[in-house]
Amino acid sequence: MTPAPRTRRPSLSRRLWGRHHAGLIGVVYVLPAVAFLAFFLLVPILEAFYYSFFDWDGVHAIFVGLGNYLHLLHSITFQQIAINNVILLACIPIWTLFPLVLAVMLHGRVRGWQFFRLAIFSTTALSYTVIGIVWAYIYSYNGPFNALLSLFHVGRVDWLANSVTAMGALVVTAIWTFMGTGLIVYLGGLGAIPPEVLESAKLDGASGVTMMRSIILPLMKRYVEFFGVFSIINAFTNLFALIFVMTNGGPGFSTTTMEFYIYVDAFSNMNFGEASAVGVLLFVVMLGVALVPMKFLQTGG
Amino acid sequence: MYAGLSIVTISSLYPFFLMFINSFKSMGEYFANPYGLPRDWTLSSFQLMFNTMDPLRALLNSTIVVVLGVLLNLLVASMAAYSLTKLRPPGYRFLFVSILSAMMVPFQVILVPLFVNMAHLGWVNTFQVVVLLYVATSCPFGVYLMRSYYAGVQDELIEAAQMDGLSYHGIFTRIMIPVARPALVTLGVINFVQMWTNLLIALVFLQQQGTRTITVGIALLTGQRLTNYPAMFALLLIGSVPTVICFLLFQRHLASGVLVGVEH
Repeated sequence: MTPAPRTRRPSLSRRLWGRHHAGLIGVVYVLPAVAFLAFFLLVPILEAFYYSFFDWDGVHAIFVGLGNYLHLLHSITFQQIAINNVILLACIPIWTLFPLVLAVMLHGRVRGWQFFRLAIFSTTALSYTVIGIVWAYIYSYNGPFNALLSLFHVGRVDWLANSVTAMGALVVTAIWTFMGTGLIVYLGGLGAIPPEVLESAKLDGASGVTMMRSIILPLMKRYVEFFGVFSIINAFTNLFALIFVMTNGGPGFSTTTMEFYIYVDAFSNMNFGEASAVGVLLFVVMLGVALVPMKFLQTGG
Repeated sequence: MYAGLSIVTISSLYPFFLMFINSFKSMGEYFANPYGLPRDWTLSSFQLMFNTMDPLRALLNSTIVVVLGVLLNLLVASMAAYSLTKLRPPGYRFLFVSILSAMMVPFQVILVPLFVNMAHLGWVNTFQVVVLLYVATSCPFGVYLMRSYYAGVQDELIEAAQMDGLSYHGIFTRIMIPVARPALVTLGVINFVQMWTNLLIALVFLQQQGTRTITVGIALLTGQRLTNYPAMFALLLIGSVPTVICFLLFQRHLASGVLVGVEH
C-alpha cells in the first residue's frame, strides 16, 4: 500500500481569505501582546544586563565592568544570601513531595475527601501578604504556636527573631502556602491512574509506604516534575511578600534570598548597578532551572 | 493517617479562624482571651481600624487597578491566542515560543530597569503603569491558556461563519470569545487573585499614601509597631474578602487553571 502523499493543507485563514490577508490581520491581533512584552520585558532584561556593569546610585553612573559581580562574589553578605538560596533548594524535595503524600492519603480513601481538598486548597485564596502576617503572629513569642508548645512543656522560641530558626520557619510557611496547589496537581494526576492499577498493587500486598512509592512515583513522574519546577520557581522568585512581612530579610540577612536582596540593594542601598547584577545572576539561575528538566527528560525518559 | 491529615487541614483553616474570631474582639478582650472565641462579639475593632487605617481608599485603588488589569489582559491574551491559532501570521510559531518563555523571567530581574524607565516617563505613582505591568506579567500565561482553548475550536465552524459573510473581526467577537467563555472565566479569576494580592509591583510603583492598594497597605502595617491585634486582624479580614469570595464562587475554575499548567 503506497503511503498517501503528504499535502500541507493551507491554514484556515489562507483558504478563506487568500494568501496575505489573514497574515496581516494576524499581526494586528498579536501586536498588543508582543508590544507589551517587548516594552515591559525584553527591553528591561537587556537594560538589566547593561546596568549591571555600572556603579549607579540613581544620580552618578560609573562604568565598573565586572566590578559589581566581583564585589558580590567576595561579599560575605552575598555569600550568606546565596547560602539561603541553597537552603531553599535543599528544601525543595520536601516542598515538592509533601503535597503528594497528602494526595495519596486523600485519593479514594477518605470519606468526604472533597472537604479536605477544599479546605487545604482554600489557602490559595489568601494573599501571601496576609499569610505572612498571620504566620508571623502564629510564630510570635506570645503567639499560639508557642502557647501550644508550652502546653507540652517545650520551651518558647521567638522563631522569626532567631537567626537560626528564622529561615526554617519561613520555609515551613512557604511549604504550607503552596501545598494547596500541589494537592490539586497531584489529585489530578492520581485521578488519571486507572483504579485497577492501584487495586492490584494493594492485592499483591503492596502495603506500606515504600511499595506505594515504587508504584505511585513512576506513574506520577510528570506531575512531580511539574510541581518540582513550579516549586523551585516559587522558592526563588515568589517569596518576596512572605519575607517582606515576616522578617524583612532579617535577623541580619539570615532570611534574605537573592530575590529579596535585589529589592533591598536597589531601594534601600540605592545601588541600582549591583541590584541589576544580582538580577542577572538570578536570571541565569532560573534559566538553569528551566533547562535542567529538559535535559532530564531527554536522558532519563 | 487521619490524624496527620486532620492536623494539616486544621492548619489550613486556622488563619481564617484566627482572622475571624480576633476581628470581633475588643482590644481588652483580646488580652484577656487571645486564643478563644470572643465572649463579647463586637464591631469596635472594625470601627477603630476604619478610623485609623482608612482601608476604603486602598480597597478602591485595588479595585480600579485589578479590574482594569483583568479586563485588559483578557482582551490582549484572547487576541494574541486568536492570531496564533487561527490567523497564523508569519513567524507565529516563534512568537508563541517567545511569549511562553517570557514566563521564565522573574520579575525582580527587570524591576530596576522598569522602575528607571517608568521614572523617566513620569509614570511612577500612576494607576496606568501598574495596570500595564499587571497585563505584561500576566499575558504570557493568558496567551498559553487561551491558545490551548482556541486550538480546540473547529475550523469548520469558522468556515461556515465566513460563508455567511463574517469578517475576521466578526469571527473573533461572535465566535471565539463566546466559545471560550469558560477559559475566559478561569483566566479572569486567576488573574483577579494574582493582581489583587500582588505586592512587589504595587509597592514599588504606587508609593504615595493615597494611591496604595489594600495589599500594600496591609504589608506596611508590619513597619509600624502594632499592638492592637484585633484591629490588625480586622484589616486582614477586610482585605481578604474579595479573593475569598472569588475562591468560593470559582474554585472549580481555579483548580482547572492549575491543571492546565501540567499539560505542556
